[in-house]
Amino acid sequence: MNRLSVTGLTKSFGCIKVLDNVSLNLQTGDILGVFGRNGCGKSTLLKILFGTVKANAINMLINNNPLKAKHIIPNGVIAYLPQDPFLPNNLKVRNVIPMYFNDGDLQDKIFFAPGIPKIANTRVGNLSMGELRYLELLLVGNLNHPFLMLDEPFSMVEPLYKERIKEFLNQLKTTKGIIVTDHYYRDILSVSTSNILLKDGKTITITTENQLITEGYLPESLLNQ
Amino acid sequence: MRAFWNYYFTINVVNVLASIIIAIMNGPVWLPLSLCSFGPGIGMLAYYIFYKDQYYFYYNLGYTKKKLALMVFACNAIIALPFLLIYLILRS
Repeated sequence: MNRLSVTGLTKSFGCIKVLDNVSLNLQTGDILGVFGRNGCGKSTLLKILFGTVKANAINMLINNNPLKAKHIIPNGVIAYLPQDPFLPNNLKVRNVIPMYFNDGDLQDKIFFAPGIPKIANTRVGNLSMGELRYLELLLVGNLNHPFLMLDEPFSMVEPLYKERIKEFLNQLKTTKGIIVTDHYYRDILSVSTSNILLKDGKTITITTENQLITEGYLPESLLNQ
Repeated sequence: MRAFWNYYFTINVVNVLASIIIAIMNGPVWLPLSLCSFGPGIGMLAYYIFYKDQYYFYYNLGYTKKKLALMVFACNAIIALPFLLIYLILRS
């Protein structure tokens, strides 16, 4: 069981405070859904936790031990699926997999995952958005990192792949703590174990879909639908 | 390491081209010098401009931008410096 604790996270861009004294806790078995309108700081939050964006202030603990941002990537603490595709376009799927995993069993696990054998000889640049997102998720999800951050894993993905992604996330949460953000809120709500809404730099705990309406993230026309 | 070699070869396509141009303009001694100094810098700048998102491919494997850069410079120095020494010995 691993535990990630973040307190006092503050980030400003110029005079705009995007994240204001944000705190969150995540442990193995958790899937934390993060909602918020465009530009509210969801991706910034994930990038700060991954260590690629510098916060103005942050206290981060892993299993009660302080962790500096510059050690997150070298120590392999958090895996991150960014919003935009990140795999080299010129490589074939069968060549990408061994780059991520030396272990033969893990390579086989990816090669024989549902949907992968039929795209093994396809170049990454020729994959559909759904195939690419699923492959990226399989790669980062199977890394040995105890925590996983997913930025819009359901965006532009067809229903069949969405179901595969949800199934995979439910498997992953037995060994990892996961943070997931997306505007496909029903997909998030169907897999998350807890949820927060980022609004005006602060976090609001979300327990029901209707709360997303009352907090102004969803339109009122969706109330009780 | 396989992922690093992918980065290394992508950087060095630009590096070699830039270094050849520098050598044509300034003399052959500049080819090994550029290959392990300005050339990788130009390659990394081009990579940042055209493939910025692909850095996440390496971040997830534990490679920071700094580590990648140091490894590229180290590999190129190991390859280019013997050629530079041979050139200087033959010239003297």
